[in-house]
Amino acid sequence: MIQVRRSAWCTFTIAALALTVQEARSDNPFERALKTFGSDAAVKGYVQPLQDLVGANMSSGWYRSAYVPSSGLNISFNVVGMAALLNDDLKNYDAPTPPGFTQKTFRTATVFGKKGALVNDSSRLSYRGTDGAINASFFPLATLQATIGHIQGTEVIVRGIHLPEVSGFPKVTFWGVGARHSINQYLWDDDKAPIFIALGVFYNKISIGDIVEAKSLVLGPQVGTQLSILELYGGVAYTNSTMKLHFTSSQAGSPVIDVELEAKDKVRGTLGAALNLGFLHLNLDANIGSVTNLSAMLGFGF
Amino acid sequence: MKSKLVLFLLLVFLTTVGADCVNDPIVVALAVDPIKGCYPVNTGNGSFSGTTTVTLKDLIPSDFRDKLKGIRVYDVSVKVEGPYPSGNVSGNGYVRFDSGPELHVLSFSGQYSAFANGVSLLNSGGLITPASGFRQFLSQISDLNNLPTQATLRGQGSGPAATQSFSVCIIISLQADATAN
Repeated sequence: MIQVRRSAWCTFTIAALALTVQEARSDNPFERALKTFGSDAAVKGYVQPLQDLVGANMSSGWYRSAYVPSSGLNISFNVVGMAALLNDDLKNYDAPTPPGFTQKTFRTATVFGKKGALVNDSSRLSYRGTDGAINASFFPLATLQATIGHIQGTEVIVRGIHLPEVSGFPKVTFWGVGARHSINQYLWDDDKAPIFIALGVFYNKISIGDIVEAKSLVLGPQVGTQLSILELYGGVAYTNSTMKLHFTSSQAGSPVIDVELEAKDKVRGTLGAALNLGFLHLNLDANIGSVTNLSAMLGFGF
Repeated sequence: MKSKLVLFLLLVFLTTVGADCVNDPIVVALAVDPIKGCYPVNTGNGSFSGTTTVTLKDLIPSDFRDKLKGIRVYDVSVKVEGPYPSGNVSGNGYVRFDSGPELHVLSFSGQYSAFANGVSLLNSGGLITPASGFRQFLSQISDLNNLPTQATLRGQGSGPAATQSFSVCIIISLQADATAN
């Protein structure tokens, strides 16, 4: 039985989906937690997993096939859901202790962790890490997406969504644009191609609240084959995903924190399957890198 | 409207399989302003003595003052500021919370030059030692149920005769726990 948890996150999602507009507050718990970091170095370890997960999500869900028709008008509208899986490595990091502590680093919660750890020095002085802000087993992202083509075996893809701030999670603005080009058109006619090959390039940008901005560039080939209504596909992609954080710290002296993070993944692989049922298309794929994520797409079009 | 409905259903599904929530509470660790007292050394006899009183909640960023969960000390240091003379300095630091007893928190002794860049109790090389009231000081400042309103830091000590004015500073570095939601 599906049980919708009465939680802030759930409230966020449901309310966001209902597309209700709530008055944005200047700070939410997520932003307030970030603003308690007093240095670029300290905030990096805490937030790095967010970048890895957002980067993985933004890199996925762009296609449900390696087939790009060489000509003809085709339009489809899709809803894409991505979920990057959170393993334990993403929930804790080695934070620096203040100068002088015997223990130079201590393992404490990232933004996705639980309680901040306490480190005690032999001198009886102690230091604590900040609690994690988000308790989740995966980090989701969803978007509306449209694909239009095809001229000379090329299609254009646009995606985007705006979610208002709800229940402590800041507003999210997400958009992306991409293009794919058929390679197999140079080798075979579309209806005689044993496999489909395409090249794609995709760009995304996401803003979370006023302080987080992430961009992602994805470039790579896809290969697939069609077996009646079932299509199997895969791809390899070079990804470059960066995140900027900019805010004034709540710490003593209110330093301005200006951090740029880069996702660990540079190469990600995709394996997926799609069902093509006339106007209705459904697919699911797994995207593998240092962070694994799943993406599913439900589309209508021709 | 169809796309909104589909989006709604998809994301409701996502919420049911793992994305719990924003943690409640989120306890954030704030490095707040330190308790710092700088005591001018008398030119002539080289002695120094003085007090500094702070309201503890004033050290906390205003956003978090009403959400305080605890205070801890993560460093105590001594630093000389200004043109110090050569020779040894020795001194003591005391803290009184509100109208309670004065606690002898630390003693320090060594060449003035050794304190020029600050010496931390965490790595003092014997230049700073905790005194008899150190444990009680740590205990009282972290007792949220009886969180003191004010702390009065007193520094006193002596050194060689000085010809130029300079100060001996005692710095107590604090971290505060507060909820972010």
